[in-house]
Amino acid sequence: MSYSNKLSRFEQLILPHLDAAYNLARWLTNHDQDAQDVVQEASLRAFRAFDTFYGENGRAWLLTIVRNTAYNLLQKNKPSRLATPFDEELHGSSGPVESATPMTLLRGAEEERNLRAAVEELPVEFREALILRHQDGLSYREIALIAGVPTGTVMSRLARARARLKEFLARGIREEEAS
Amino acid sequence: MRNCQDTLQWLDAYWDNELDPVNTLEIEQHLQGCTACSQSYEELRTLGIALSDLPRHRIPAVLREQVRSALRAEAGEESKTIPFPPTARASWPWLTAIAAMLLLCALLAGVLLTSRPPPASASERESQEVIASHIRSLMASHLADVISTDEHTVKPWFDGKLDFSPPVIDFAKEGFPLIGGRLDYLTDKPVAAIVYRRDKHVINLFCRPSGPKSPDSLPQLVTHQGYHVVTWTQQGRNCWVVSDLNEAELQQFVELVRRPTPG
Ligand SMILES: [Zn+2]
Repeated sequence: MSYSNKLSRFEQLILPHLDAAYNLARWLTNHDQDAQDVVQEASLRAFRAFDTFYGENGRAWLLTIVRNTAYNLLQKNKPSRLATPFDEELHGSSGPVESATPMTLLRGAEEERNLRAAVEELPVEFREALILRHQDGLSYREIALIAGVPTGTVMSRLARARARLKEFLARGIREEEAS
Repeated sequence: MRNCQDTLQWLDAYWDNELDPVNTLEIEQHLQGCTACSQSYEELRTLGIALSDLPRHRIPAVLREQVRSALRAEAGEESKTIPFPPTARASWPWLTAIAAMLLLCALLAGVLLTSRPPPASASERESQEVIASHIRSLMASHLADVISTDEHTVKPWFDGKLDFSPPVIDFAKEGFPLIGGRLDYLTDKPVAAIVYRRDKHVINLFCRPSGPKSPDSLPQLVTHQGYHVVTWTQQGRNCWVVSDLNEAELQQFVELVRRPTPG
């Protein structure tokens, strides 16, 4: 009975976060099939490691495993995408870059598509921070634990990711006006 | 007083609600007096909302099912192959785990000594049949012969199909809505199958007369392959409840079914 007990506890505490797991995996890999593989593998890994889960935060726990599984897969499949990690120090830790053109309101399907494309272009560490912050509503501390970096790094990644998005979107608007 | 550069540097953390009250207040004061920084903040806010509003990637239903069945297979596998708990933790689940392990060892020893499969007990065969029937019912449109959430539709439907009258009560108020009824067979004898739902989990309740003078028995839970089967006898009736719903909620359902009803 205990094994099924483990399974039903797992189903109760961890499986409700399968949606968040898939969403993160899909954003990190930018690929449907890869995301599915990641979620499959991560759930099994989570189940096998479930004895080490002490019931604090099921979602953050599962997302950590999903994140690590996704990075493993990225490393195996597309080493180039991870080979040049964005250097935190080199790019300085200063605040956001001011965009040259004020952003207009983001509205409608086309803006949504543009924004999505812009996020997909970002380095994977930036995407990870953005998704965990905006789509999962996690705090800097929680993101730091999942990504295995200091809280300050999360802050600067988020600031620079957003600065890049602003730039990208402003450029898109300028190009549109020019054409 | 804060200058613009200092404000912009902490603007993201301010938007993310990650600043302490003192810094938050200082940024707010600066924003009130500075149009340039206010505009930066407005952009950040717009972007942040747009990011939060981006549609999430939806998990394919097939994948969700695949994960569930992989876990079930894994759980079945673990119960067969792991000789000892990997890390002994002083908690009740492990005590039951060890008890289950000892039982398993005893069974395995039985196999080795007699070199033939251990005879499945009648009740074990029975619960496996209950699960098989449950799984069959989940397959394409075989869940119910009469689909109705109204007990006054489902109950009469059984009349004339069975030589007994099964209890049909809707527990929607308690969170277990009635879905319908079905005629099924267990150990080659007909049973009434009454179908309920709890969120996305289907629950089958099987009932039939227990034969003259069978004593009442308390609910017993057995688990195979991630399905729980609860069996009991009450007022001349054998009942089986089967589902992949978690144990606690299933017990809750069993208590509802066992609750004495008026009339
Ligand atoms: Zn300013």
